[in-house]
Amino acid sequence: MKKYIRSRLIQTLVVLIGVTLLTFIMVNVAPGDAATVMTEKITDQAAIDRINAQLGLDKPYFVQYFLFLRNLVFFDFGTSYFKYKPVMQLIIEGFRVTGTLAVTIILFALVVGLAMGIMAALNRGKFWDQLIMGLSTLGMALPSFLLAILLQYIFGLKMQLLPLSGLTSWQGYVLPSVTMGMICAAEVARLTRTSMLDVLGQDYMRTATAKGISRQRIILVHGLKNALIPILTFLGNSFKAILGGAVLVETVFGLNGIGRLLVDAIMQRDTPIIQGVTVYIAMIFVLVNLGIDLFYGLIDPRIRLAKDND
Amino acid sequence: MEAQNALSQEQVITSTNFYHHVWEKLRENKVAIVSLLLILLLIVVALFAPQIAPYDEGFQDTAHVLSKPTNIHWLGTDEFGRDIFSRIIYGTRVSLSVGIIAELIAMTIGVLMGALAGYFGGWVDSLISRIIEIFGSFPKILFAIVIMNIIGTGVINVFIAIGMVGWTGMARMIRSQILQLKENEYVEAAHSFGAGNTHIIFKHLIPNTLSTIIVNMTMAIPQDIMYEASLSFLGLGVQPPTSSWGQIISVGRVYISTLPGYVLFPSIALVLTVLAFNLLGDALRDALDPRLRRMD
Repeated sequence: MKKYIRSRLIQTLVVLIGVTLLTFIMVNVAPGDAATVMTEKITDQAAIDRINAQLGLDKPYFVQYFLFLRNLVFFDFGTSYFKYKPVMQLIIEGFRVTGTLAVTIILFALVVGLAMGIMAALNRGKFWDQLIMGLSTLGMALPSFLLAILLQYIFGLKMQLLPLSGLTSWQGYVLPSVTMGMICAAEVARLTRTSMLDVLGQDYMRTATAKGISRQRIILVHGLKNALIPILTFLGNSFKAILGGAVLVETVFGLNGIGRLLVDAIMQRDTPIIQGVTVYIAMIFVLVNLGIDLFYGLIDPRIRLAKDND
Repeated sequence: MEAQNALSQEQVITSTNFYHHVWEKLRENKVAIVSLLLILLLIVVALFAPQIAPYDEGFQDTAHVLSKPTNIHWLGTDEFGRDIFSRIIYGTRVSLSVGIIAELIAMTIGVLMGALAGYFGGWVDSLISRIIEIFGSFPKILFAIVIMNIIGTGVINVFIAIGMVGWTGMARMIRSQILQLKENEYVEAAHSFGAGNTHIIFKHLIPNTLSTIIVNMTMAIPQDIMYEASLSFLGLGVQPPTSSWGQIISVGRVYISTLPGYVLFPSIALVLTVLAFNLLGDALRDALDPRLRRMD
C-alpha cells in the first residue's frame, strides 16, 4: 500500500505541474492583454506600457510562469481588473457558494436516487420500476439549464414559493440544488437499481432470508452495502461535474458561484480571475481523483497489489 | 499469396456476420428503431433546412414581433420578428454537426493517443497517460469555455473546443483495449512477417477496437450536443444570426410568461435529440458488447 500511495503521489505532483502549465499557456495565448482591455480608449503607448509593467506582463514568459506559481502557492492573485477586489477573496466567495451547492446537490441525489433505485429494484418490471426508469432516462437527457428554467418558472414565478434568483437567504439554494440534484439522482437511481438487482440474486441473500432476517434489514444492510461502492465512485465524479456544471444553474438563478465568476471574468477578460479560478478548480479535481484512487486502493487489494508489482 | 487472400476473405465474411448480427439485435429493439428513425429524420431536416423552413433563419417579419403561434408563424416569432419554427429547423444543423464533427475530432485525438500509449508502453505510455490526466483535470464545460476564450466564438470554434475537451475518455478506453490486444498471436505473427509498428497499429489493432469506438462515439454525441447548447446558452458559443437551440432558449427565457413557446419548442427539440442518441447508444452498446449489458 505504501508503494502504491507513493507512486500515486508522484503522479499527482506531475499532473499538478502540468495543470499549472496548461492553465498558464491557455490564459496567456488568449487575445487582448489586460492593458489594452483596461485602456480601450487610451491610445497612449506609455500608459499601456506602464500598466503592463505593473502587472508584470512585460517580463519573459518563463518569469511570468514562476510568478504565477508563486501566486498560486501564496494564494495571492492580486486584484481583479474590474471588480477592484482581491482575486482570492472573490474565488473563496465563489467556492463557498458552489461548494454549498455541491453538498446539497449530492445529499439530494443520494436520498432521492437511493430511494428510487431501491423501489425500482424491488418492483422489477412492474409499474413503479418502469416509471422510475423512464424518469431516469428523461433526467439524463435533460440539460440542467432547461430544468432550472422550468423550476424557476413554476416555483418562483407562478407559485412564488421560492426566490427567483439571488442568495438573500438559504431559500436561494433550494431551486438550484433541486435542479441539479434531480439530474444527479437519475443516474444514482439507475446505479442503485443495477447493484440491488445484482445483490438480490446472490446466494448469501437467500441464506439471509433462510436465516429469518427481515426483508427490510436484508435490503438495507446487505443490499445497500454492496451497492454503495459504485455509487460512491459516481458521487466522487459528480462532485467534479457539479463544480464545472454548476455554471449553468448559477447563471439561471443568479448565484455568484465559481463558474459564474469564471464566465464573467472571461467576458471582461479579467485575466487574474481566469487564471486563479481555472487553476484552483483543476487542482481540486486532481485531488478528488487522488482521493477516489486511494479509497479504491484501500478497499480493493487487487488495485494496489497490481501497482506494487510494477 | 493465395492463402492470404483466402484469409482476408474469411475475415470479411466473419466481420459482415458480426455486423449483421448486431443489426439483427438492434432491429428487435423497438426503442432503438424509433430513436434511429428520429435521428434520420433530424439528419434530413438538417440537410434540407432551407427547403423545409418556411422562412430564412435571419428574416425579420417586423409586422409580427413576438407573435403567438399563428397560421403564418406556426410557433410564433421572436423579438426581431424571426420565425421560431424556422430557427429551430436551422438549429438542427448546428446541433447535429457539433455532435458529429466535434466527436470526430475527439475520436481522432483519442484513438491516436490511446493507441500510441497502449502499443508502445513505457515512457510513451507514462507521458500520454499524464497528458490525459492533465486534460481530464478541468471540468469539461469550463474547459470548453476557457478554450472558446482563446479561439473566439462561432460554430467552427465550438467544434474545436468540444473536440479538444472530449477526447480523454476515448483515449483511456482505447489504451486499455490495445494493451490487451497487442498480446494476441496475430500481432506477433505480423511482427515476424516484418510488419512495421504503423502497419500493426492501423491495420490490426485499431480496426479491432471498432466496437468500442462506435459505442463511445454514440454515447458522446448527445453529451457534445448538450455542451454546445450550454455554451450557446451562456452566450459563449454559436452567435446570432446563426440559430442554435441553446441560444434561442437563452433569449427566450426572458419571455417565458408571455410567450412560453419561445423556450418550450427549442427545448423539446433539444431533449428529444439528446434522448434519441442516448437510447440508440444504449441499444448499440448492448448489441455490440454483451458484457457491458445493463441488468434488465
